[in-house]
Amino acid sequence: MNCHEINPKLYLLADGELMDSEMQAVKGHLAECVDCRMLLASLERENEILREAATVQFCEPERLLLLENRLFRHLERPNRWLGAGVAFRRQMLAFASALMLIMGVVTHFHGDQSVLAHSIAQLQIERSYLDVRFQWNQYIGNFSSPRRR
Amino acid sequence: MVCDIVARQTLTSDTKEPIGGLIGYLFRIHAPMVLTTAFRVLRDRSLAEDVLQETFLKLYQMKDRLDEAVSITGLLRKISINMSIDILRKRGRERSLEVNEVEDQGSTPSIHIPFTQVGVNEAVIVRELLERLPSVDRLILELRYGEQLSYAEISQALDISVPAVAQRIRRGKDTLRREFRSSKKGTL
Repeated sequence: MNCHEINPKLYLLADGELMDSEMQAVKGHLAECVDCRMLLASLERENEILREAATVQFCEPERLLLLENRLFRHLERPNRWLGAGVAFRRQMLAFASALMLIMGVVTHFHGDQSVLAHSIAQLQIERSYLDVRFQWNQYIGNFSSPRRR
Repeated sequence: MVCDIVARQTLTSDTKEPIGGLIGYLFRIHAPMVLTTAFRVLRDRSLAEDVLQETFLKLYQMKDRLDEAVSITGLLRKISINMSIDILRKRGRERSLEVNEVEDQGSTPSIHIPFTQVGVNEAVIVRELLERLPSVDRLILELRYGEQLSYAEISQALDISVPAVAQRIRRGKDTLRREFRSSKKGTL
């Protein structure tokens, strides 16, 4: 191998990326060639400069702790809301049960069945109204043609 | 590597530990790396902190789907880079960070005049010159020399081939050398 062939491999060698299969040939050339040894030394020096230039250090422990706490707040938020929803549903269920119980007791002890009869009659009227409306909708639906795409 | 093994055991173990036990451990180990990587892409501290948080939230969401072969460090780095690039795209700077494969323009090296000079703090000059490089070349050089990643790790993080990484590094260093020479003539 001559210097021209070795040159690109020196970049890889300086970066520690040269394959083992090529290592022996390159080292053999370096043992004989002063110019390539100097080139390798300057490449390694460049890498040191780049490491120094590309160093970023701003990870202060206090700041990281704050960020960690912020992350936990985000992680715990869905669970908290889920818990709140469950509690709300339970309260609503308890409230509805109590209301139904009170109504049942009132109806039972009132003695007058007219209230219940009135309610049933009202329900029947509403049902017949809904039946008529349903039939009317069906009647209207028969005339409307499906939309073509 | 040891951190990765312990982290995986912590993540996959079916313990009744609170959330803090799982993610807190990983956060304390990997947060500096994720924050620095995001900062290298974004060049903005507060945005990098947002990316840090989103990265760990995403890791937490995918903890049940983690493959045994995947390195958690590599995964976190990749998530943070992708999220940072997404942020840049949303802000309309996507053209500056299109990570494409580069064509190998022949391996004929230019005459090597290194950016070393006795009596000058080269690192300070090179730091300024790095900022002038195209974003992708700068990011790759920073990942290689700032984060000490191998070519294979960079190619994995950026989804480009290893030869493309090597080519980008050489091209970036060639540009730095040229700029360093012109800076010596008084342009810097």
